[in-house]
Amino acid sequence: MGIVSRTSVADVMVGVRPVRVALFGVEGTSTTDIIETPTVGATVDQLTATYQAHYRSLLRLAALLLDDLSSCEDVVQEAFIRVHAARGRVRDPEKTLAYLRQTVVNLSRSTLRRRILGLRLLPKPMPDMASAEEGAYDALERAELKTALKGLQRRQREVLVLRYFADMTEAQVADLLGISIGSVKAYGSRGLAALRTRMEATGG
Amino acid sequence: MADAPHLREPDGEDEVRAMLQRYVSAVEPAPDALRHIRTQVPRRRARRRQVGTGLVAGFLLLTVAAPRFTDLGLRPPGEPNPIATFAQSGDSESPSPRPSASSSPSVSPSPTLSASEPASTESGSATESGKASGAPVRAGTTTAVAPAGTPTTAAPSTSASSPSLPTALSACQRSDLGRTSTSSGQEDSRGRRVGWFTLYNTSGRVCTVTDSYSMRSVDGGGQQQVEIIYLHTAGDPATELPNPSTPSPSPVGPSTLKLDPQDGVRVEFEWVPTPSCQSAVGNPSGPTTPASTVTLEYFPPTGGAPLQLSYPSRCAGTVYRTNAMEEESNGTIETP
Repeated sequence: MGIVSRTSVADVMVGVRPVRVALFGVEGTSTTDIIETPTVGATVDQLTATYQAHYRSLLRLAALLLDDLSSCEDVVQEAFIRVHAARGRVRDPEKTLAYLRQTVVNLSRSTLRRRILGLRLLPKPMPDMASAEEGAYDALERAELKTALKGLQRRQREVLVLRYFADMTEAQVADLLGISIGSVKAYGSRGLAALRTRMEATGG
Repeated sequence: MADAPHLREPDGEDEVRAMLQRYVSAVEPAPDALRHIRTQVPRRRARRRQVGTGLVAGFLLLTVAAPRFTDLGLRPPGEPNPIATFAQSGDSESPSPRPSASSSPSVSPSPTLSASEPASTESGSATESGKASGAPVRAGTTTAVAPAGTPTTAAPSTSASSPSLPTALSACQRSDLGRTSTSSGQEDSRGRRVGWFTLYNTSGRVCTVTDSYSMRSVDGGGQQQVEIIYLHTAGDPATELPNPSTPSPSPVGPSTLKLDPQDGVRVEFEWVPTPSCQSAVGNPSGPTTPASTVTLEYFPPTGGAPLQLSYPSRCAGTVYRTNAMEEESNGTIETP
């Protein structure tokens, strides 16, 4: 993608007339208008558009699914590479986010993650999660939540994160995880209960 | 949310939402994330394509391709390189291996090429060449194609794999590749130049091409000798060409490219003057030999009229060429 790499998002928007969509919108915002307008000669940089729209939120999704923060970046980058390498998946922008999320969830499961991490040449420093302004309270909450999430069943954790962080419906979560809506409800309610118990146990 | 211990209890869904958001609010993308993805995507695609091509081609060679050679009058494995055929046929008319519509029902009738198809503005020259049976495409100042002027052959023609893509994969027809672009590049201080031949899929449908390795030089009447056109490999003198990412194409033959609408198939070449002459090029008092014209022809993988370009050189030299590469509609080049 060497040539395109110098193309900024602004260039993309110039080349395509109807720019109705905020590229930097919240997760779930569709970039359909930009990508589905194949103006002849326009340079449509799908990768930049998708990156701008979804990368950060997917990174945070991965951070909630993984205990080890240093691998979030690897998982999300790998998901972007896989989804963009399969052209059919970026051709339908409505589904691109769904593919990306699904890939992030799948890669976050430990067995696959080990495979990716095995490919890494250099260890990366742990991202510094605590900002300077963060109070002791937030740090405490984070530590408790981390422990609580760690103690959840894999499925419970996935359902909670997808439902409440990614704001997906139960049907969407069911579709992504390949389970029934009933299972999503069950994992969700049990997950919430487990989370509450664990937070109380550590914090209360 | 009254006192501290209860604040951290996820009593309601909204609290869970807020807590999860706070938990990751400091997580930010690495500065090089986009760059990393950008470099990896083409590599991954190339890898996928290679695996896919090998499997599909192997299967289809066994099932579909063999009977179709006779049907379509295409070159079966082991028969001479199409270059020879083209050369013998002279330049007034190019052979058209395009199958009739009845023999390939799944190939939809190719849309008529519009004369208004934008011509490329690349340096060098660009030509419209829509008709499969049209006259050879001439670029710029070329002399006539010498009917017997075939001093060169394509390099690894031993692979001799089928250029006849099965209709299941919707092989590109010459008329699908309605827009062409050629460039003879700019001569550098050593007398080298990098140019290309590109054909764009203007058909509006996805189709595939298989590299035919058919590039030749045409005797332009000058005294300069043009060496055989080699397929570029890593470590050879053609240092300006992109290295093939893998040592050999697929085991069953040249790689097949899938061209989306507006994508192009591109072959780049590098002209490398002989070393003795190279050093003299940058020298103002250099070679006294008058420049003569080197003319290259590239036969599209679909068959049909060759693309042609010319450039002056005062040196003898060698032409190296790449495998067919895919140029995406957004300008990205993918090295197979």
